[in-house]
Amino acid sequence: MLHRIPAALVRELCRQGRRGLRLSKPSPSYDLDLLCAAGCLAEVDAGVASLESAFGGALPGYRRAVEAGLVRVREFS
Amino acid sequence: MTGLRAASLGVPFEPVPGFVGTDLPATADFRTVKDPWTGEEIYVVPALRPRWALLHVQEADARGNARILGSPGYDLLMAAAADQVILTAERIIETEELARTPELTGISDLTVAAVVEAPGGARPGDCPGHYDVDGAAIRRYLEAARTAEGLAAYLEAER
Amino acid sequence: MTSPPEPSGVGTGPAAAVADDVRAAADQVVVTLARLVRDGEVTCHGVNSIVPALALMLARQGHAPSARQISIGGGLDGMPPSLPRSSSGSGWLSGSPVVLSNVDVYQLALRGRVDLMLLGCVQVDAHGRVNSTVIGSFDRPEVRLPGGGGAAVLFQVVRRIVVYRTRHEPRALPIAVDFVTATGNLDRVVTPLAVFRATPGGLKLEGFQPGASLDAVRTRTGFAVVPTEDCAPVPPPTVAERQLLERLDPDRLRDLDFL
Repeated sequence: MLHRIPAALVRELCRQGRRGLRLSKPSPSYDLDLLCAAGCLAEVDAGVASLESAFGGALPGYRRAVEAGLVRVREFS
Repeated sequence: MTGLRAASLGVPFEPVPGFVGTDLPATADFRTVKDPWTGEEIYVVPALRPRWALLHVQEADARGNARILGSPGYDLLMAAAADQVILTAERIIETEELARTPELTGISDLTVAAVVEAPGGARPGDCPGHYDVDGAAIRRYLEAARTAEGLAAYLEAER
Repeated sequence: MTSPPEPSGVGTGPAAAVADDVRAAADQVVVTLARLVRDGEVTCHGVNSIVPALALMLARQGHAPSARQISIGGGLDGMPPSLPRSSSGSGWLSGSPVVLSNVDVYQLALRGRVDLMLLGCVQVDAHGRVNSTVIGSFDRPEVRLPGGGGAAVLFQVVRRIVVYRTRHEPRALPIAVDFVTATGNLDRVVTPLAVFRATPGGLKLEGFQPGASLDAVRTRTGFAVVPTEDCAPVPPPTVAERQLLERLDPDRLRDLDFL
């Protein structure tokens, strides 16, 4: 969900080049994608990780990272 | 949410209904237990306790007592499940202002480690009372993030 | 909330540029979903598409005035002045007397208080099993999908689930899903071509949409299509439904999901 994301904090984590982070959030979107695209994330616990269908629905950075074996997913609800 | 709630309650695991006949339990650390009273099997998941909850709120005082306007989403659960909280806020207000209607203060400063005044801190997402989702900015991000150079330029531009 | 939303760029673009068949598909799926709502039901929708939220609004303004609509954005029976562009946006709080957080909504569902949910999916098979998790293996998927978002639980605690697809194609309706994200109280599946009803023998074809035929549905469905005894054409939008759609979604945001 794009609702009140701590986006500025997440962008700063990316700029600082943090590695090996684990994100636990039921419905991440832009924040998850950015952390994956920037190579910061090692693990995610999420229920649904997506964007509004008007933007294509999928999170490309997240998908790429998971499909490349770079991020481990635990899907919960 | 599963797991976060157990952490927020200070218990080691929590029972969850559902998941029967799905492939999800096999992919993660689900176990089953028997209900001690009825003997029925139910899935349980371990507590999930993040080190930090990062939240953007509309108003906070300098210590981290914070008011969320609109839906809290999952923020109150995340704040309760995590060890500590870091807040960004559209604006910092005086504690006295919060004290006039303390029932509206969703987050107490007890576990808040830091508060940052960061107007626009949720962009390109929404922040009720301040700004809506910025679709054009989302698209700009998606385009930029296709390459490492684009992403680096995007992060610099969004300081 | 008090400040008006800034133009967000979600859904901007000339509505006139959208092809007729896309518009027809969008209208047909929305009205088909709306017609499935029973008056008095407590309803809710999934994230990331305004299609099911719009269908619920249509139902409440039409044949189901006592249905209750919980929005993921937190409102109960919200009636935004214009359709919010985001399914989880705070626009859905407009007119709502209460905020139900996502946690509140989930817990209402757990307690058996939600009668109907409208959810999207990536795959659904004839056994009524839904996949929103992966294509391929879980640990190293060919395609990592968005995830069920609680569907694994919701399908087993919500009284009725209606799943919809914006595209009807064989790999979306396979003989067997790649991964079982959710299974349980699936009642109907709605697509631009068909309506399937869950029966003890599996999904059966209850209706085919305008412009589709039994053969067309068979060709584009991966699993064997078995019609119900009362299988019939689904009526196109009525005049009243068209008027409601025009009033609720004049910018035709619903088309975006069908492009």
